Amino acid sequence: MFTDYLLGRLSAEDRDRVEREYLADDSLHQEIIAVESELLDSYVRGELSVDEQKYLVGNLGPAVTERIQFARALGRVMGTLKSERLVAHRIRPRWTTVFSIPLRVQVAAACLGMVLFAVVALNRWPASSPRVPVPDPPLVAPIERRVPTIDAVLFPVERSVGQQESVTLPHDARIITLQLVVSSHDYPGYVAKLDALDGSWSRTLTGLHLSQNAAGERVAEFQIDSTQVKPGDYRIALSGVRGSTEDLVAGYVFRAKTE
Amino acid sequence: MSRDRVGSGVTAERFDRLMAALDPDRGRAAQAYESLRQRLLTFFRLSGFPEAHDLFDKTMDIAARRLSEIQIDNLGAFITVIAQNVRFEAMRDRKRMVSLTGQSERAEELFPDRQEAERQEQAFDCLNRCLERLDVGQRSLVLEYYKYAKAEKIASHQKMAATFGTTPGTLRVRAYRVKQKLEDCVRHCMSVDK
Repeated sequence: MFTDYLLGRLSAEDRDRVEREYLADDSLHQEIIAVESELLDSYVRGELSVDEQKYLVGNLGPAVTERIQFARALGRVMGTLKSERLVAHRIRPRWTTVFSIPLRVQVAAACLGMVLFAVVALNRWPASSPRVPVPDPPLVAPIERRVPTIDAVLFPVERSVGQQESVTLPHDARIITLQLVVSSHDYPGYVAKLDALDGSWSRTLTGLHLSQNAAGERVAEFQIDSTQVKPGDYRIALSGVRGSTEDLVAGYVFRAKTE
Repeated sequence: MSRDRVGSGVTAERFDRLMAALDPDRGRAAQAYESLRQRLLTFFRLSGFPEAHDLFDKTMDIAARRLSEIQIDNLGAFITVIAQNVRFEAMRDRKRMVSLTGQSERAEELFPDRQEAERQEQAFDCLNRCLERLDVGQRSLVLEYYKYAKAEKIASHQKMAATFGTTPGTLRVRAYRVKQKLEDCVRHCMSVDK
């Protein structure tokens, strides 16, 4: 209704009703100017008819030029974000487009089996080296990311437990264990993206699963060799994976342990 | 908000009565006045009167005068009716002006062409700077909310509203407030760079 009002599509009677409503209710007034702002975005994207453009722009007021400049600038920023997302899609390994999904699952299962075998074998190996090998390649088949990389850094914006989203990794231990304690989600798998705040290092850890620790917490845990990271601050974004979709999740805290 | 904003026809006594009718508490009355002012300015602007301050002043002058003459039970509804009448008169006056001059203001004439490309580039630079100044939460909200168009936008907003545990309408206003902050920042940045 607000869209129709702002584009001059309402009858005089309906128009009068909308006006009385938002003049009496400040929350409706807030909403109508928010809708107007979104319509201005539509205008700069060329989504409005000529008549709608004239009606909308004719009512923008004295700051019309600045408002259109701002809408265009914002549209350009959004366009940049979208193109980053397209690039993220494009750089997926070619085999993901060649193999069918059932085949990928079988390949992933085979890879997982091999990794598990390797882990068991290493545990039985004499402790000639204190280093624990860090699984660099993903444990399961790469997941088609619906979310641009930049979102993973910026999102989620709220957490139900704690507010901190960066963690300081210690540098005096060889193995750092990071635990993500998940409070309110239950996905079959999780993906964690870890980024150095200065942008110098980034890694996506796939194939994480929740397990219950002695304290009864549901924890997704992974290890990093300290020689691979610099001391400093890192940011974590956690996504839940169900089927071929990934959802950035809130409601978790993380802690770092050293060995 | 000050008495000066109300036209010269209103005495201090009438103005005080108007404020008391909005709310007996002086501080809350000032907030109510400002909220009412914003709504009326939107109302006049969306009715085709971009320079709406005069019409707002006229509306409040009449409201203050009438308040001293009669008992008003619903002040909001009363002011709405006055504003509609003020707009009606302004439209009538404008029609008269248009028939005298033989032309009306067109939307296209509002766009100056000169240096447009440079100003647009400047707006883009300013916006990037202003985005950096936002905290992470606000930045991610505004970038996520305004990223998509058409059907994708609707789906994205529904998903975001579910994530935030709020309604799409509330989320829209919340995103808009951040956007408004950005817009103000860009306007300031451009005025400094000018």
